[in-house]
Amino acid sequence: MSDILRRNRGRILMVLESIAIIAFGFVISGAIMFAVGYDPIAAYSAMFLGSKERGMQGAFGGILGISSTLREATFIILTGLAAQMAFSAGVFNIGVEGAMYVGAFASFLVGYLFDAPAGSILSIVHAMVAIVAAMLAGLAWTYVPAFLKIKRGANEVVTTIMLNYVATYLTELLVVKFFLPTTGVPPGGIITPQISPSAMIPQLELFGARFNLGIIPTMIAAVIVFIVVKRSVIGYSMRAVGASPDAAKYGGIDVNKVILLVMLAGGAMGGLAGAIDVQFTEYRFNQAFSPGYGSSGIPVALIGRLDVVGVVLAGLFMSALHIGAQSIQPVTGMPREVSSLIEGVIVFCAALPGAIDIIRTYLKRRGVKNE
Amino acid sequence: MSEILVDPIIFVSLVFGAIRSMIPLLLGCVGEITLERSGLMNMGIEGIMLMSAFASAYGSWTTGNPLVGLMYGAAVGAFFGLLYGYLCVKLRANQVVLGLGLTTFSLGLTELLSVAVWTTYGYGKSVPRFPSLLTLTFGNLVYEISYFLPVSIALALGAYHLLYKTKYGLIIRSCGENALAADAAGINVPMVRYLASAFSGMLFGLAGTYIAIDWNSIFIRAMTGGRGWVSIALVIFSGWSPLTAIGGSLLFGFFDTLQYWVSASLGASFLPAQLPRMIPYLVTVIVLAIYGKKVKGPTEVGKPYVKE
Repeated sequence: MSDILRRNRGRILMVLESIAIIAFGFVISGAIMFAVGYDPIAAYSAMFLGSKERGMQGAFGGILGISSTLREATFIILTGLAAQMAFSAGVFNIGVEGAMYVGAFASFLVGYLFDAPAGSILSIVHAMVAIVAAMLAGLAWTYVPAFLKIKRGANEVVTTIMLNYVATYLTELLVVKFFLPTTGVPPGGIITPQISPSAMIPQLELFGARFNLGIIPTMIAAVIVFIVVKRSVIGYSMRAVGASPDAAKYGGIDVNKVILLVMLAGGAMGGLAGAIDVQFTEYRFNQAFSPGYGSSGIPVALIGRLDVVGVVLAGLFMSALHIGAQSIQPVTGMPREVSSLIEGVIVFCAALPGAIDIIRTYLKRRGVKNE
Repeated sequence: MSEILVDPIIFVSLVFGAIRSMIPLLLGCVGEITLERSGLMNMGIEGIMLMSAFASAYGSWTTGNPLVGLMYGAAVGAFFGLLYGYLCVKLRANQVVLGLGLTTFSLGLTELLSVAVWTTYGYGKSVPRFPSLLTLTFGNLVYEISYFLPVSIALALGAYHLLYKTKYGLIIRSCGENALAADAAGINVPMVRYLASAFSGMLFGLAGTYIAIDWNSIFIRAMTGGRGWVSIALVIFSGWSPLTAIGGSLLFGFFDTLQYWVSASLGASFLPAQLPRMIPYLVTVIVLAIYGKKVKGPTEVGKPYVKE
């Protein structure tokens, strides 16, 4: 047992660090809530366990809560994987949100404009084509900032954030212009009609809750990323570029190609996340479908320590945070944006590798003094 | 949000609109230029602006005096600027990640506080705003010039003078060009960077203050609307020069205001509202595409300096 512990010491330390960062996020945010005059314990309990009186299930306090958490996790795991690939090559692709919107719209277009007889092979082809269209759309959208970074030296953080605004306005424009009745916005918000049944992937009914099958393509994506990152030359090149672009270049790696590749892969994964919302979940394009899944990918990649298994677990956690935050508002009166508060503190802490080193040296020094 | 920004004066002319829109961009840009010249890069401008916007609205709300709001906004900005600098210098934080974290954090914090103070979700209540410096009337059109306009231009000119005409400017720039050499010459690199951080944070704070209690008179969720990020693009556009930043922010302000003008004058029936709203973001991308490579900033910006 102790042998296993010793061999995996680095890994265990990383897990402990991530847990410490998450705990820190909750403590700091809790202190802020307390200072403002709210009860953080009640808030966190509502968040994860729900509240019977208010009929809220939180993230895990019932089958509906769990199914929502799993559903949202698919999106966040995908954006987390996209961020992970970009980070490991030293690129900051914040544009997954935009790719997701564009992908969702492409998936809707293919799903809506075509139809196939139910139950036939053609309907499976239709659903697949719509998913692929979404991934291609996300990829094409991300090509713009990737190209601008490589050829024009444009800062990808700023361009991708700007393009996220453009993507949400652009899809909103298309929906308003072509898919809304001329009478105005319907009560459900800016949403399109449903897609054809042949492009819909059914949801699983279990214990009275609906479970989204988007977890299947998400897990396939995770496995592919795992293989590419750990077992392929491309994965090696990515890490080399992330560690030092100059050294990688000297070693004969085409740095620009690697940057292009990780950004495009992230775009395709964003597109896939969009397709999962349209074809697996809502069966229509909803202009307000994402409460910021794209930006959640960043903390997920960081607390997942740029590791696929870590990202999947962190994605589940982040999803629980978001779903749980929806229960906070009716139970405690705090806005659901408190999830951003916790998420922000977590990202903040994850940016501080130096902090952990300093604590370590401090402990070591104290240890020496005590002896 | 656009309705609130545009409603009081529907037919505002483009020039005055541009002057109004340029102020937060110029303040953000001048702060960031000064900071980047010292070798740090703040990617959390958006978040600091938002927190100061809240703080200023809060200050103005509780005391009824927008000057108190201004002090709150500037102080909160300087505090977070300094915190940012401390984490970057002392704890060698990843500056991009830290900025993203600060921005996410600010969204949650301001909304939480806004609900606690005004008990409404998404927006606060109307607070006292700054009086205008000048009120110009052309026929039946009224234009207001804000006190923040001369202040922000003076700060830009002052920053230019400081950076290029004084001994202190040489010290700041040496920290951004070659921290090791600056250190060898006896300059206290961390101290220079702390001061620059606090100064830049205060400017971001002024930008947020302007947005909340001068341009508007209310705090709204995420009301800075990406202007912090546009400021970063503007730094590159202006080639890290506070003088060019004045012209650059006027140009960006023009595109920012163009969206309201287009939607107001052409009307939603002719053009969907979303199209003009994309203008400032698209222009930012285009500008980065054109200027991304042409200009060169401080050599060591964003690199933590670790003293051996």
